[in-house]
Parts: sequence; structure tokens; C-alpha cells
Amino acid sequence: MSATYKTKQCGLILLAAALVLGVPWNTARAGVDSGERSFALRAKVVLPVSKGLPWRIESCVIVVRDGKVEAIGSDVVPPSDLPMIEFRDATIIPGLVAVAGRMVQDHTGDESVAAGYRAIDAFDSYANYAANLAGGVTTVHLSPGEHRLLTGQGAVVKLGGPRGDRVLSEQSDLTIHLGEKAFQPPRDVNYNVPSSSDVAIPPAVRQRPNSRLGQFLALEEVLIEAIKGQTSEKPFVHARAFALAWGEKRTLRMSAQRAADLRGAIRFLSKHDRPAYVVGGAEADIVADELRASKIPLVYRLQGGLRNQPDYVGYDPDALDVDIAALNKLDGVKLALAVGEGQSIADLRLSAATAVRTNLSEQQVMESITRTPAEILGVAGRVGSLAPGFDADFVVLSGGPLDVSSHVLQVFIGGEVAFQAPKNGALVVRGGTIWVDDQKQFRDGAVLIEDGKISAVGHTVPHPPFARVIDAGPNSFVSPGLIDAFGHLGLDGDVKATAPELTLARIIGVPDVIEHRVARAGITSIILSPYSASGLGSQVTAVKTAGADREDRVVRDTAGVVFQLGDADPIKVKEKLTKRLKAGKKYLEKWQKYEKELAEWKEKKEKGEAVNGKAEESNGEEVEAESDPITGTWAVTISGGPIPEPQTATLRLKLEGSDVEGRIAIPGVPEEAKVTGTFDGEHFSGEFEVDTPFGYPAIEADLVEEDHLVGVISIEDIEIDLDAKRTDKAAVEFKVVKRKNRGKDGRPLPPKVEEALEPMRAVLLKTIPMIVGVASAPQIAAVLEIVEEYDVELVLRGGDDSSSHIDKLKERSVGVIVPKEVVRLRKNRWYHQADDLARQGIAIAFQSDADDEARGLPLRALYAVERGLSADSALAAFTTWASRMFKLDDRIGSLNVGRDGDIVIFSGHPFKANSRVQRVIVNGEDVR
Amino acid sequence: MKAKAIVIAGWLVFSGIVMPAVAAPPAKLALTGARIIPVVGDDIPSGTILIEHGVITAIGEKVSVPYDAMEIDVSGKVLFPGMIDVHSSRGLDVANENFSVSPFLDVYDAIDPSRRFFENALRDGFSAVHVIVGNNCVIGGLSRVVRPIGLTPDEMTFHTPTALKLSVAPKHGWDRMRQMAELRETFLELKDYLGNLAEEKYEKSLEDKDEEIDVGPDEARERGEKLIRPEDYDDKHRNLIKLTRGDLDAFVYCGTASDISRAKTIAEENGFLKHMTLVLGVDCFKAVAELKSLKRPVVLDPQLLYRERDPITGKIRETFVPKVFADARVRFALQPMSSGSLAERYLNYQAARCVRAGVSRKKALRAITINPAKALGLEKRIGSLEVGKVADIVVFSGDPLDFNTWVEKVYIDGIKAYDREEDARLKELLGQERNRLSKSDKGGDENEETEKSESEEPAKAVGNKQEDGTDKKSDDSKSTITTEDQPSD
Repeated sequence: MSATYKTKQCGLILLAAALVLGVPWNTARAGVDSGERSFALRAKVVLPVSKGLPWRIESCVIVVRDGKVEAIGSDVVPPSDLPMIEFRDATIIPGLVAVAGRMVQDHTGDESVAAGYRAIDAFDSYANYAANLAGGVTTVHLSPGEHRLLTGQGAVVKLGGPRGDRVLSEQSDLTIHLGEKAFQPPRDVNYNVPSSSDVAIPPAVRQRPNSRLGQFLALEEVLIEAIKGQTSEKPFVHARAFALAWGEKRTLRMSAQRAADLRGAIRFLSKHDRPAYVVGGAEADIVADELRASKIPLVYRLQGGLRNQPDYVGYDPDALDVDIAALNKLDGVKLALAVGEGQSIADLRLSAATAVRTNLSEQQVMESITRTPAEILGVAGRVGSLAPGFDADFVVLSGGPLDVSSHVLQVFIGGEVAFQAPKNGALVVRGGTIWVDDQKQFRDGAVLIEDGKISAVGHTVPHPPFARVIDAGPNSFVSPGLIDAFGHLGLDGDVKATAPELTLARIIGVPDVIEHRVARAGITSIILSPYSASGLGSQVTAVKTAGADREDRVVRDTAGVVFQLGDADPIKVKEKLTKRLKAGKKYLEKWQKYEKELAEWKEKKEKGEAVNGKAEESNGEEVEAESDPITGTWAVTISGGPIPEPQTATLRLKLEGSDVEGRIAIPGVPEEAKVTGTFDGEHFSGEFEVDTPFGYPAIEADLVEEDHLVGVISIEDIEIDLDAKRTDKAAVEFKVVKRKNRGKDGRPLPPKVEEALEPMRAVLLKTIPMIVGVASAPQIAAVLEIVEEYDVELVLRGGDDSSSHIDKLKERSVGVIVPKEVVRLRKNRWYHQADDLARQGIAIAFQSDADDEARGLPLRALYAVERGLSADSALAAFTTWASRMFKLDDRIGSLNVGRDGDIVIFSGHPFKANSRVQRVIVNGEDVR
Repeated sequence: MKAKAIVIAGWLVFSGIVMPAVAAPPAKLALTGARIIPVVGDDIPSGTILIEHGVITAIGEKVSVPYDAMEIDVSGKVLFPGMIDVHSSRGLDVANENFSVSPFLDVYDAIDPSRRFFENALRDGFSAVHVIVGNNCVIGGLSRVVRPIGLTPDEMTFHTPTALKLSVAPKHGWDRMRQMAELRETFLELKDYLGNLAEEKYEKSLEDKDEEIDVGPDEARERGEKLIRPEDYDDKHRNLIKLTRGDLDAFVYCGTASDISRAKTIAEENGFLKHMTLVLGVDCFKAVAELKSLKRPVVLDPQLLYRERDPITGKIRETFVPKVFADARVRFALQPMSSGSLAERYLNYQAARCVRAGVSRKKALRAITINPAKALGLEKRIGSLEVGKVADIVVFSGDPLDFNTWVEKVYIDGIKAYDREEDARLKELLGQERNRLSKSDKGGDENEETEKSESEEPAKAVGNKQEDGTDKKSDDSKSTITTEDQPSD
């Protein structure tokens, strides 16, 4: 038996080893096999510009293997062995082909006709061409110069991709230029070195052409020599290169702008039958018929410059529209487009976009900067289109290729990322309806998010360079992220009440799966509250359901103080809230006094008055000796609340500074409980460290006379009276250290921060609301009275009968978080509280009062809409109103400028049954 | 050897360095008690180098010194191979002729032994300088390796002919297309010349036999080829022919990374790929993979740090070039910076920079000694302290990569060629510096000084002050002396 066991064990170990070793090994091998240049991608739109494929393929898959396109189409199934890249919002086009433009400088030789200059020699294959790649150009023609009659041999190269694969054609053509620029070449000097009496220095040679008459003569001259094979003339390099190129029937590239030169070019080319194309064509409209008949392709150089406009364009009223005149007459001519002389090829896409003004269709224009130039340059089998077998050279654009507001986000060459737009965090969301807030909505607009914040909203917004664009379509509905006004997401069943000084922001970290689930439903923010509130009020926190870290996720550490009244009677309610508010007020006043003193001190100091008052003379800490009023053993009697009859207990306390520590022993309870708290000379406040479902019971007691404490113990909303008498004084003396209230320079020092009262201070300053869970109309009345007295902001939670106090609610603009039950029976009639309050002008909000069930909240609201609530009110309750009642409207709840980039895109109005969440964006980052 | 010593002594007098009378150097010399960094092999914490007739015959911790050897105690010092300036045009008055193709030139005609450059080179610890024409050419002239000491170029010469200079980077005012066309033209013309020469030779041979030419020109050229003797070549083509036949090395300058493939093509087409050393521009590290597969020696640009600005984001990225080569395991030689008073003109400082940037100490030290020797094809004679090698030794006051170290002595061929103690010019310069410093120290409180000088011993007070200044100064005296007479590049 043991042998079998051992065998099994060995097998398991081997299996485990195989798994551990095998997995990385397999991955590594897969990496070698497929390489980085094999992957599949899916894009929103692909324009393949290929003859055999549709013009526009939506939701298109492209399979790239070893740098080549293997398959393309919307019905292609991505192979399981390749990594998949998703471009959900992007448009993909083939890399653009720049057939003319200044990529290398003109050669510096003197020869008028010199076929030996090779443009490829001037190509720096190691340079960073990011500027041109950012324009979408991947393939370029290099010209050896445009300043002489025959400048040499052109080349066709790629601007990125695998280094060994960048040169498409080393010697692609003989580059000839007709027209004024080539006239009057310099004299050619050829020294014989070393010269001697036998070897003379020959005089400089005059070169042709000097005029339009001479240019073809000069060409024919070299031609005759080449045909005769007389290549022994010096310099050899040019004569031989020409003879070789001519013999190989190398393509002739003839530049000509004027009609006369164009005619000459056409005549010359028809005489010598060989592959050729014409570049320039400013006056091509005049010779359009001849061009058509000759079937010679034309590379038209667009005249209008985008970056540099000439200072003076002459008298011709159409001077800036020459392109329109020329291009309108060129139907039937094989046409490629190129940037004008002196323009950057990085502008090719935008220059071409202006050509759509002419008779050319968008499709024709796209072809003229991709497939057609590739055909003209003789590299059509590799670049210019996206089809099986072609190089994986393509451009990922944020929008339509001829749309001026779209940007190049990424460029792939030979399956390698050749350009990656810098991540600048800019995102443009375009939609059919933009729901900014409850007051402002409009059709066909856009929102710009930069660095996680909304920086523009309107019918059109700025498109910063390399901004990502989400175009949600004309039916889409763009809304602010939804808010759950009261939830417990991520508390994971921890139902304890939190102490008044504790904020739940401390437990917020990286979002988990459950947060993600809620975020996907469109709920981007939650007012996070403990399941039950402490009797002293617990803090609630505003958090997001997505984000990279705590800083991203927490909107406000303390977004309110929540009280839960249960079914307490109105008098108790009043007492409880008043006590807390009173304590808060006392604390606030201390701060206000300090702030006032500080202001006075500053003013005095600025005026140069003496700031050291009398009180500051003794600057040391004041130490007063007093008898210790707390330390010792106390006989405690507790009564009231749920306790049927008074009970006794023993409490032993010890005071140190102002901290109190001790233990309580209750007869019949085996373990003593720890007591901690603070004592300020009159008042003792602390808690018993006893686990109850509602957290630790709190104790608040006053020293009514020497050795006599009277107060309450509170658990949730249960209160127990406490009466204690000291029976034994363990220590007779204690030192009260009074804080000095002035600094060395007389500056008033701030009062001690009391974490437990800080939230109440904020409530009294009206920067956060008090959230009170109410059950009955009398409770509401009591709460409203107190709110009136202390002038604080109020949010009612539950509040079944709030409609009976409608005027008061309106007057104090109290928000109401409606109960979970949308519609319920009241006085034997169905009552829809949300609708009722919304119609009467009360801001309402929805609560999940649950963990990740919060994601069902929109459905509940949909039900509310079905039962009568207006759809826009429902959306306002989820966004603007909720953010306003918690004073968070500076961060969330609307799409106004400056707010967080939290956006939900629906396929229609969110509270229509047929609409669904399409996208969720939090802080400008995609969540769904 | 003796004659050379006398010449050296004469030079020292001639160049104004007054030295005490030196006896003719002994045939056998032992340097004892020093830390030895032989570069090839492990360091010896305390050892002896025995030199016989200018050649190292023994090296180690325990070397038995023959009775007739002169023993010099250099304990506390560091012995290091004489450093090699692998690519320098500063021995010339002008770096380049204005002819673009001038293979017929020889630096021999332009080396001026009295140039201050050589004196400085010796002071900085160089024992060999490869004098070569500058980068501003298509094909430059012949180079040679010289000692930085001697009265005539012949005296100085250590090795010749060394190499022919070529450049694939454009010369001033040119572009790469023209540069490459000119290079191709040169070699096409050479082929044409050789063809014509062969044809002529064949015709002549027939003429001698009173025969008529009987074959076509191609056949005649083939037949004539065998009849050509080396003395038939003209001056213009001789060196080029040597280059294409592998009798001459090529130093090819590449200005930028993409030049390397062009250099390779030209060298391959014309038969000198195996005799090529590449002199690199600063951004050539981008082509390090190409260089690795090429397996030819490379000389790095003295500017070791490369900065590049991203065209989109505008951010500057810095690359420390030797680190790239070291990481890719490509052997490289370092050059000193040729300009004035910068610390980069000390080759040991260049090596120290490499170590700071993460290159191993071993690789950094090799880059200034044995690697330059390999680039020159002289690794069997110089570049390290090994038995059988020429006794070119630098005596450093401390570790060569410590900036507080200076060159104390330089032995060339086993003869003391430089001694800091006897460096009259350095003393003069330091003296001047001292005076300048003490003057600026006085500056504002001149009156106080005069008062003091009345009451106390004036000379001593000032003297003390000077000494303070000197001590402080001598540490970085290297960086403050400017003794250069710079040739225009």
C-alpha cells in the first residue's frame, strides 16, 4: 500500500514540477515562435484601402504574423495562440505613403546630370522619425535633390520597423527635374591630382541646361552615351550609374510644374517607353487631356501649406485655391497626392484632407495617399493597403483619417510599434445627448477630460494632441457617474458601528472585484457608511468604485455624520442630538476663539505692535496640583433602558494626564472589561471594550460632585443610566497639565484637536450635512427643530412621512434619501414617495443600504420611473441632487468644467428600459 | 639604443628643459617595489619589472635582479603600460589637406617634433601617438605611430606605414550622397587605371618582342595584369592598391550610426574589410549590434556622453556610450579629448568616467592600453606589461583612475623619457600659478600685509601662504595648466 502511495506521490511531484517548469518554458517558446511581431487586434473601424476588400470594415479583426497581415475582416476569428489587442474606439488605416517631400537635403555636388548620387546614402536608418510617424506616414520616397536636371537615384524606405527591413527599394528611380530650378547649374570643375607638367588642370566646364530649350538636349546627350556604352568618361560613377539604370529600365521620375514642362515630360516619356510618373503638376489642368491619354500617373503636390503660408500670394483671387482648380479637372488620371514643396511630410494627412474640398471623394483622397503612391513607387505588394500578405504597416487614429481633430495614437510598421503617442491623459467623449446636470442638457456634444478632470464641455471641445476619442454615436447618452447615496460596499459584513472619530476612508484601498462589479453598473461613487451608527454619530465617506489607489478613490474623507434614531421617542431624539451638537458647538467655539485671536495677533504683528501680552509672561507650562478626582475604585449602579432592575458593578479607574484607563467587573460576568476614555476635569467620556453587534458601548459621565459620576452608557440607540460613587482613592494627587495657549512669539496656539468632535465641527460649519435616519413624523419634527436651532445642513434617510413637513424641508433645503421600498401602502393607498417629493421640489437620492448589491440600484430606480417618477428626476437623484445634498457637487454629480472625469455612457436615456450601460469612465480612465 | 638616448638628452636641452646631466641609460634596469597593473593578467600588489635592452624580460612579485642591473626603487608607486593615443591629428599643423581624395599624402611630411603637443602627451603618460589626418576628408593620407619624443620624425617613428584614413561621413560642406559618390568614383577610377596599366604593359611586352597586338582589350588587360611590377604604380594610386590588397590598414571615420553599414559596403567591395578600424561618432552606439557582427576594432568618440531630445515630448535622454559597448561585449578603444584644458584630455580620466558609469575597471583600463594597440595591429609589441613587450611604462603616483594621481615618470623603450621632478616647464607653470594665486589671495587686505611685513619676517609669511596655495593647487593642477598650441582641425 505504501508503495502505491509513494508512486502516487512521485507522480504528483513530477506533475507539479512539470507545471512549474513547463509553464514559463512554454511561454518563452511561444514568445520565440510568434515574437512580438505576431498578434491579433480588433478595431472599431478599419479602412483597408485594398481592392478586394470592403471600404470600411467595422469591428474588424486583423491577424498579424511575423510582421505580415495574415487575415483581415469582421468575421475573422482571432487565433488562440496570439495575443489580442483591442482598439475599441480607434480607426485603423494603412500607413501613409509620402511620395514627395523633403526627407533628405539636396546633394551638394556640382554636376547637372549625375545619376551616381544615391538618395539611400543620405538616409539615416537610426534616426528618430517620431515627428513624421506622428503624422501617420510610414513609407517615404527619398529624392537625391530637386535642384538639378538629373540629381541621381531615389529610394523608398520605411521610417520604422525591423531595421533590416526598412529599405523597400534602394534604387527606385532616376530623378529628373524640369523647369526653372534646374537651369543655370554651376560650372563643373574637375581637378587632376596630383597635377604635373603632363597632367594639366582642365578649365571648369559649363553645364547644360541654361534654359527650357536645353533640358531635353542634356538628357538625350547622356542617353546617347549610355546607349553607346561610352562610359569611360570621367567621372565614372555617374555615367556608369546612368547606363546601368537605363539598361535596367529603371522608373523615371520627372518633376514638372509648368504646363510646358509637363508636355515635354509626356513627350519624352512616350518616346522612350519605360515606367514613369510625373511629380508636381501645378498646371496639370491645362494638360489634363494629354496626361489622360498618356496614362502616366501624376503625383500632385498640394500647393496650400498648412504651417507656413507665404506672406504674399499675388493678385490672383483664387491663389489659395489652386488645388481645387487643378484637381477638379483630373478625372481619369492615376493620381497620388503629396505635400507641397517646402512642406513637412508630417502634414500629409491634413494636406490631403483639404483636397476633399474638390471633386475628389474621401475614398479617392485616401487612396491617393496610400495605395496609389505605393503602386507608383513599385512597392504595392507590400505597403499602401491592408490585405493578407501585406506588411503590417498601419496607423491607429483616434477618429476618421481625414478629420482634422483626430490624432495618431500608435503606428505599427512590420508588426512593430514604431510610434506610441505620449500618454497625456486627454480623453474626448462624444455623444448624442450630453446630460451636464439637472438644469443643462444638450444634443450632439462632447466632453474633454484632462488629467482626470473635466476641462471642457460643449458642442465641440478642444482636441489636445494625442487625445483619445470615444465617439459613442448619435443615440448615446452621456451622463455623470451615478451615486449611491448610502451604501456599505466593501465592508464585507462588518456590521459594527464605527467610533465617531473614525473615518472609513482609512480602509479604502485598491478596488476589488466587487467594487468593479458595482462600477460596471455605472455607479461610480458611493456614500460609504457603516451598517450601524454610533450613538455619538458615525462618519460617512464619499468613495469611488474605481481608481488606482486610495487617493484616486476617496472623494471626501468625511462626507457627513450619520445618526440612527430607531424608534426612539421624539424627546429622547432631541436630547441625544442636542447633546452632541452642544459638545460640537463648544469645541467649535474654542476654535473660533483661537482663529479670532490669531487674526488679531497677525494684524498686530503686521502693524508692528507689541504682541507679547501679560498672559505670556510665564511661558512655561502651567502645572497645577489638584487632588485626583477619578483614580480609584467606584461602586457603579446601572439602570434604565432594557435593564429590568438596577445592577451594580465595580469600576476601577486610573488617570494619567487626561487619559483614563481601567476595568469594570460586573457580578456574574466572568471576565472584566477594559475601559478607556478621557477626562477633562469635569467630564469623562470613554467606552467599554465589550463586543456587541453595534460596536463598543460608549460612556459619557459628568463629575457632578466630588467622588460622584453621573452619566449614560449608550449602545446604538439604547441608553443606560449610570451612577457611580468612589469608594477608594488609590492616588490622591494628579497633575493637570494646562496647555499653554501662547507660543514664544505671542502667537496663539491652536486648541487640542479632538478627533471625535471634528466631524461635528464640520457639521456646524455647514461644510458637511448631518444624516439622520428617521422613522416617524414626530421624529422628523424633532430633528427639524434641532436643525433649526443649530443651523446645520440635514439629510433625512428613510423619512417615510417627510411629506408632512414639506414646507420646512423646502425652507431648509433638506435632501431625502428615499427608502428602499419604492412604492408602499400608506393609509391603504399606494404611495410613491420619491415621485411625491421630487414633484414638490425636494431633492431626493437613492440608497442601496447594501454591499455590492448596489449594482441593482439603477434597476430599482427604473422601477420607480415605471411607477411615475420622471426619468430626468431619477437621473438627477443619482447625480446632481445626491452630490449637492452631500456638498460634493464641486467634485462629482455633474459634467461641468472642473468636476472629476466620471462618466457613464448609455445607449439611450438611462431610465428607459431598452438602454444599457456602454462605457464607464472614472477619473478619465476606462472601467468598462 | 645608446644613440637614441643621446638624442633624447639632446632634445631635452634643445627644447629648453634643463636637466641635470644624465648618464647613458643602463642596458639592464629593474623597477622594484611598486604596484604593477599589467592590464593583461592580474595586478601585482608589490613587484619588480626587469628591463633588458628596452624590452621587458621579467615581471612578477619575486624577480631575481641580475648583479649588473640598475635597480630603481619605485615603492609606493603604480606601474602602468604607456598609454596610446590611438587617433590624433594634433601632431600635424593642419588636420586635413583640402584635396578630398589624397591617398598619396603622408603625415611624415607634417609631423613637427617640436610641437608642444608631444611634450604634453609625454607629460600625460602617453608613450605612443598614432598621428593620422583628420576626419574632414574622403580619403586622407598615410598615418604613422610615433613616440612623443625625438628630434626628427624619423627619430620619433615607432611603426610605419600604419593606415590610410577614409571617411564615410561627409567632409565640411558636403553631404553623404556626394561623399559616397566620391568614394565609389575613387575605386572605379582605380580599377580603370589598373586596367589601362595592364593593357599598356601587355602592349609594351609585345612591342619588345616586335609583335602586333592580337587580342581584344579585355583579354589584353588580363594578360597584362601579371606583368605589372610594384614600381609601375604611380604615386596617386600606390597606397590605394596597397589598401585593396590588404597591405595597408584603413581607419574609417563614421560620423553617425547609419554610416557603419556604408563603411562596411565600401570595405567589402574593395577588399579591406579585414583591415579596417572604425573611428566612431558619438551616436554610433545605436548600431552596436551591427558593430558586434562586424568584429572590427572600434575607436570611440572622445565625447562619451550622448544627449538626444525626443521630437514629440522634448525630453532629453542621455546615454553613456562606452557602457553600451561594454554591455554588448564589443571591444573599444578610448580617445582623449583634443581640446584645451578639459580633464577629458587625460586618457586615464576618460577611463575613470567609464568606471563611474558602470563599465568594469578591467574593460576601462584595457580601453586605454591594449585595445588601442590592437586597433593599430601593435598588440604584440605595446599596450600591456608583459614579458617580451617593449618597456613602455608609466610610473603613476597612485591608482591611474584616481584623479589625485599624476604621472611621475615615463619610460619609453626602457629609457626614462619623462620625470616630473625634472620637468622645467611644469615647474615654471606651477610657479606662475602659485604667484597668481598668492596675489589674488592678498587682494583686498594689501595694507594689512605691509603692516605685517614690517613687524614680522616678511619672506616667510608670504612663503607660508604660497605653500598653502600650492598644496591645494597641486591636486587639481592637471586641469589648470593650458600649454596647448592647437592645430586647426
